[in-house]
Amino acid sequence: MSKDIKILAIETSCDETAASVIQNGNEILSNVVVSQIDSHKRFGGVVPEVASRHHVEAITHVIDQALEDAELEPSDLTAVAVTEGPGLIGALLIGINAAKTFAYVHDLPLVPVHHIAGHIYAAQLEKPLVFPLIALVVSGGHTELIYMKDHMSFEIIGETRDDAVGEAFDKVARVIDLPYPGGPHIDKLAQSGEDTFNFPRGLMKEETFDFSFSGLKSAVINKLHNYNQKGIEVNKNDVAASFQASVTDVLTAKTFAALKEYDVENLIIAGGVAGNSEIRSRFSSMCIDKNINLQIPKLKFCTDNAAMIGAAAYHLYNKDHLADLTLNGRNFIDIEEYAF
Amino acid sequence: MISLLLDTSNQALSVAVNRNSKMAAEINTNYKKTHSETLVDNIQKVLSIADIKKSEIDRIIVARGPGSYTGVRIGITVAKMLAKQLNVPVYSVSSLFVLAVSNHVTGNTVPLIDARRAHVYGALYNIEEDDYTEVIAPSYVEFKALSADVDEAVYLLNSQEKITIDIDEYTHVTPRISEVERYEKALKLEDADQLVPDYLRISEAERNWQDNQ
Repeated sequence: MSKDIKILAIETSCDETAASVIQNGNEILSNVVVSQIDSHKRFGGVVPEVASRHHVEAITHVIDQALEDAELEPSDLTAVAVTEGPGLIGALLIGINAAKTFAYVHDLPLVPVHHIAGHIYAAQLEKPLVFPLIALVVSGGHTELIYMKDHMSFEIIGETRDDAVGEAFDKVARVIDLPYPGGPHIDKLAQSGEDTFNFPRGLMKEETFDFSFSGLKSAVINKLHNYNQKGIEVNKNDVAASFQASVTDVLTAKTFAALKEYDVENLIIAGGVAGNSEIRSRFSSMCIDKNINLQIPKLKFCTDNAAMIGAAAYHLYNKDHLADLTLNGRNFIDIEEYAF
Repeated sequence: MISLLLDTSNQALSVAVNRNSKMAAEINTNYKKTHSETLVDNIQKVLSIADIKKSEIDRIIVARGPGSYTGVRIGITVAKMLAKQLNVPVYSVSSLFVLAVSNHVTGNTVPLIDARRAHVYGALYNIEEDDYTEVIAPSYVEFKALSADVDEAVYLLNSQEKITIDIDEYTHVTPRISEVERYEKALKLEDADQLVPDYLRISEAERNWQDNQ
C-alpha cells in the first residue's frame, strides 16, 4: 500500500479561488487558480462582497479541476486542507465550508492552514526548507520578517507599523494613474526610470526590524502634488523607479541586518510582492555576495494559490494539527499561534 | 426518498432530513452562532438522529435566499458541495417560501425579511394545504410599497431578528425547512456547479460602479 500523503488544498482568502493536490508536501499533482482580478479592476481594489460572490461561483469548478488534473478520486486522498485565515472573512468562509463538506462526505481529516505559513511553504514546492531560516513575507496585506528554527515554528522579528508593502505599491500606482493591481505596472515603468527623487527610507536608521511605508507613500503623493501645482510634468518612470528603490533599500537593509543578528544563512522571500523584479534581482545578487542561500518561489507560487497551502498542510498533518467540522474562518490569526 | 434540507439564509438555522417528504429529524436554532461553525456539524447530527447514512441521501434542498449574504452563501456552498460529492441532485427554494409555509398558515401570506432602511425582502403567496399560488414574487422593496399592494394577509416575520420596519401586526415565524417538501412545485432543480444565491440585490460596489458608467 502506498504511504504517499496526498492533500487536496483549498484557498479562498482574498480574490483567487484556488484548489490543488500536493503529494508529500512538495509534488504538485495539480494547481488550479481562478483569478477575480478582472472583476475587481472596476473598483480599483478588492471588494469583499464581490470577492465572496465570485468564490461561490467558482468553488466546485476549481475542486473538480484539481482532482481531474491530478487524476485522482476522493478516495485516493489522505486529507483536505484549507486556509483558515488571515484574510477576508466572507471569502474564507466559502473555502472553509467547501473543505468541511468535502472532508465530511469522504471521511477525510481536515487540516486548517495559516495563509502566511502557506506563502512561506511555497518555497518547499521547489526544494526542501533548510533551518534555521528567515522569511521575508511581502504582500498586499503583510510585511513581516519571520524567524523559523524548524518546521511550523514562527517568530515574528519585524513587521510593518503601518501600510503593508503591497498596499504602498497599490496606492502609489493609483496616484500615477496606473490600473489595479499596481505592483506589476510600477515594476514595468521602473525598468525605464531612475531613482532621481530619493524618497525617504522608512526606519532605515533605527535599530529595529520593523518597517514603515506610510511616510514613503506620503512623500510620493506630496511630491506629485507639488509638481502638479507648479505645472511641472512628472516623469512617471522615475517616480516608479525611485519608489521601488526606496522599498528595496529598506527591505534589503532590514533583512540582511536580521540575518546577521540571528546568525542565519537561509532566506525565503514570499508573498505577491516577491514577484517584483527589482526586489528579486537585488536580493539575488546581495545573497551571492553574502553567502546566503536564497529561495524565492516562482512567480505563480508567490501570488495566492492552493499549492502552497497543501505544502504547509503536509507538516501540519504530520503533527496531527487537525480541525473538526466546526472549523470557522478567522480574519486575523497570529502566526506565532501556529507553532507546533 | 431521503431529502436533506438546509436553510441558513438568516440568523435562524434549519437543517432537516425528510423521508418521503415527511420530516424524520430537524434541527432548528434561532440564536447568534455563525452558520459557518454549525452547519456541517448539524448536518452530521441530524442524519445521525434520523439514523440515516449520508450515502442514503437522494437529494439536497437548499434555501437560495434572499437574506443575509454571508448566511445564504454558506448554505449554498455546502449544498453545491454535497450535491457534487454525493452525486445527487440539488434543488433550491426561496427563503421567503420557507417562512411562508413554516407555520401552516393558509390564505394570503406575506413572509418578510427585514432589509433595513425601510426595505424588506418580501413576497405574497396564497397558500392552501396542498397547493399555493405566488401572487407577488420575492423582491427587495420598500415595506410601505409592498403592504400597499396587499389587501388582507398574514405577515410573517422572525421576531428574534432585528426588526427596523414600521409594522404593527405580524406573526412570529421560525423557518422550518422540512415543511417545503409539501409543495414540490416550489422546488427548482439546479445545476450544482452553476448554483449561486438569489441575493435579489447586486452588491453596493457594483451598484455604485453601474451608476458611474
